[in-house]
Amino acid sequence: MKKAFYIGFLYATTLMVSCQIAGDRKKAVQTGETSAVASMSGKEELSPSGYVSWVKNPESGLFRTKKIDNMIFSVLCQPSDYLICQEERSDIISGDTYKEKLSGYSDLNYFDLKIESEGGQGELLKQNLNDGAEYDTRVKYFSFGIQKDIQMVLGGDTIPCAMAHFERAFDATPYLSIQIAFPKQKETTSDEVIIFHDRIFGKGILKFVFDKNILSHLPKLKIS
Amino acid sequence: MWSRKLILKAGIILFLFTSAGALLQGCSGKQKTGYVVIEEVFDSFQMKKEMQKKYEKTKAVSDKILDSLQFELQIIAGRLDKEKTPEKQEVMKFEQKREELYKRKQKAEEDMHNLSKEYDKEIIAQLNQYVHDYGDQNGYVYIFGNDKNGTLMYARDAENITKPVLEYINLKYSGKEK
Repeated sequence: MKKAFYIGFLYATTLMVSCQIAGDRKKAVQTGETSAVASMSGKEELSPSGYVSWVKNPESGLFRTKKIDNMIFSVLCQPSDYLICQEERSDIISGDTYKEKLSGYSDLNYFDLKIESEGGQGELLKQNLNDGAEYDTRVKYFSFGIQKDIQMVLGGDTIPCAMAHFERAFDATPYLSIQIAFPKQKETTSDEVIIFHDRIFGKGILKFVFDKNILSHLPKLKIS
Repeated sequence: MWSRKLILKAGIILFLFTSAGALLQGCSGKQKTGYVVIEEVFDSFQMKKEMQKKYEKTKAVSDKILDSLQFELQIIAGRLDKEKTPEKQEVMKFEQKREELYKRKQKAEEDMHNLSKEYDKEIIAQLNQYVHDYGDQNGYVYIFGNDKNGTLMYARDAENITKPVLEYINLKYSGKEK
């Protein structure tokens, strides 16, 4: 009978402990996955297609997103090598082509700001309009006005947005895409913080932080 | 000492309790509730402080414009006071400027009021989202808001999660939360 008591007690204790271990193991697997993607930075040479995939992977640290109510705001850091890969659309890029293209991206740091509605359909600018004139106001704002509502903070400096290009897709995509750019700075020892004040959808000031360690250890692009 | 039957009973009861407890707890975490002091969270929210600064900056610009119009009006008034029979045109000019200042003041007040409402709405949208995220990530079933009109009349100090929630929402707002 004592045996039965002790066996029962051991069983219950084992059950509780194993649950805790399972939880810890799950967290460790998730952390491991993150580390595997992040560890590629700075060490491996990636093919153009591999480079593009790596940049777009949320675990790379170059894609930051925020969801407020039903609106999703995301910013993708677009390194020069990524933009060259997107422009060339080939898995083989020659050294000469690379050098030529790189000079075109030497002055600015590029990002893609994307705004979408969770579960939304159709053109985002047409959602929840109060009147017809509001649609025109929105188009005008995203075409010409949004630039002043975007800044980058680097260390103690606030850098104004040098370029904001609104890619108008009408009903083709349910999201808005704005390519933004900031002058390249000499200082690279701080995190880059992109700040966007959303005035149209009313979600306020949004901040997206890009880790300086990731930015200074990007993977290498394989050049033929 | 203890009889066999008693030991067996105790063992079975202990086994049932601990198994039930483990099952109820589950591997997915505990169910918990907590409350936040809304006024404290709102006032200490970093976004609110930054929006407050923006608001004050905009107001300062608006006030400067109104002050310079006021000053201009005072100069004209002073000039008219000195003249025994001021020219009709000058009087009309003064009245027009006064009317313009009055309308501008009204418009400025309305604009600042609308701006304040817009900013409050933006702050509350983000604050609610981050409190919701906190509840999700930390396994809370309820997080109550304890404001002066609130529905929570009593709560133990141990349930006050204002500080960790505040830390979390400021981290989320700053974009540093991974």
